[in-house]
Amino acid sequence: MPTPSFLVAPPEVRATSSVVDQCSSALLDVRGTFATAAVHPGCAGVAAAAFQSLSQAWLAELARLSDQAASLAGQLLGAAGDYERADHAAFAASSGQP
Amino acid sequence: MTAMAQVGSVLVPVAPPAPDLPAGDPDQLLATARRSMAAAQLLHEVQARLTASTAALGGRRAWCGTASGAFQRSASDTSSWLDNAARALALVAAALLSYAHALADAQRLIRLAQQQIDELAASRARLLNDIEATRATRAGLAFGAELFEPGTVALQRRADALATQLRVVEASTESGVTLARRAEQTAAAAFDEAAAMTRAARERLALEQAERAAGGEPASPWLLAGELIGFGLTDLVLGAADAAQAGLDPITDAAELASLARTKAVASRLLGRAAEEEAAATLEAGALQAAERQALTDLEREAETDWLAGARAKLPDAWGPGEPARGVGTRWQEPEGRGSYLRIDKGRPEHGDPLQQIDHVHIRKDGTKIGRDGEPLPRRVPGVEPPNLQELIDLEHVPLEDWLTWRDWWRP
Repeated sequence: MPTPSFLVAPPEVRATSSVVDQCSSALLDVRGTFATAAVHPGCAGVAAAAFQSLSQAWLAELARLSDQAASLAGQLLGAAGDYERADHAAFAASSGQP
Repeated sequence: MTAMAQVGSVLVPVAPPAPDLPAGDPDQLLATARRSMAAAQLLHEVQARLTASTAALGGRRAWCGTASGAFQRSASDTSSWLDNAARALALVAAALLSYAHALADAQRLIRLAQQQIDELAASRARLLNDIEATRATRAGLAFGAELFEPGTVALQRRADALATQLRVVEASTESGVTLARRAEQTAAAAFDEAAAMTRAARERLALEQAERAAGGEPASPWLLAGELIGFGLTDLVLGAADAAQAGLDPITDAAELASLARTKAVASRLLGRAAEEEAAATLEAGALQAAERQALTDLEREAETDWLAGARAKLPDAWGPGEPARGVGTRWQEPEGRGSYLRIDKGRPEHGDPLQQIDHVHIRKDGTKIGRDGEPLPRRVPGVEPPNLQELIDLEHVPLEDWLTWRDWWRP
């Protein structure tokens, strides 16, 4: 009897997806930390203006990175599911099972 | 330059306004530096976990196809972004740290100057009271007689000493203001650089993605991931000891945060300055006073050099470079021998006579002594003590500072 032989190892993919999802959350934590720092950085003059500009850019950047990581986690889950379904279908076809 | 105002017959320095404390909050800057470093560390951990996870997945070499390629590229891009972000935040943290220490030093200087100005203002008030009291006591004297009133000279000396102290305080204030301004500018440059790193990374990734979309040779995401790991492990910028000494929480793997040589150079420069400033901060007031003493010594040395240069420039070329005079001083004499000479004596602050405590000039033109007001002094007869001897002695000592403003070497 043929046994399932995944082209990809879904458990590892799912685990990676979980890691990436945690990374996405961690990035939001980083953003929160940096946002707290940016409220009263203690700068003055040209340094205050430069830090304000930098912090605005970085808060947007960190939000984008978090979204990107979340998207990546979703891709992984989707890929794992696709391969699982394809492999099960191939296994079913080869074994004559519905 | 200290402004002077005429009060009676005494030229008194005008009390300067108390300098403003340089804006900014060093403690808050340190807190921001810690938060930025914590954020950088967190980003680095995220990047390390992501890279390890995707590398393990790629290492199985079982997953292939479109989804695999898309994932690998996406993971690579994200990892690259994270690496860039961690390095930029480490740079920001280092800049904030340096800024905090420099601003703290600047504020200490200004606070000290404020305190000194308060003290000098009190001295000035006492001087004004004494001037007023002196004027009241000689109200009955004839017009113009106060010039030769012994009290006037003593009061003027006090006023001159006050002016000298105020100039030192003004120099210290300027140093503090300059230090704060430079710290601001340096921090702003570092923040701009961190922002530029973000823009450069975005442009580079956009270019790579465009190349991939155009069907060019796809970059190897796993190779890129390997390069990122290599960068992180080989470069040392913020060691745990550095972080601890700098007042940040020790971060054992913070050395992996900043990787490119450019960042390393900037961060190292900032950290180098931070280390110097930390040494000063550790010793607090003692170190600051030592630095001030050194600064004053440097100023005095510089002033000494300027003094001789300015004096020589004022004298006729034919008088030559001068020769050592008594104590620490220099003496010039006209070569024709008509009785003109000039001697500059270095002031000795420890001397009991106030006249000798400041740099001063003795002038004789054509055999006649010249007073501090530029007028010829009466010739003294040997063996006869004039009634105003002390006054004449006072007038013979022309403060070097005043003399340097004279039109010619012998007249104001």
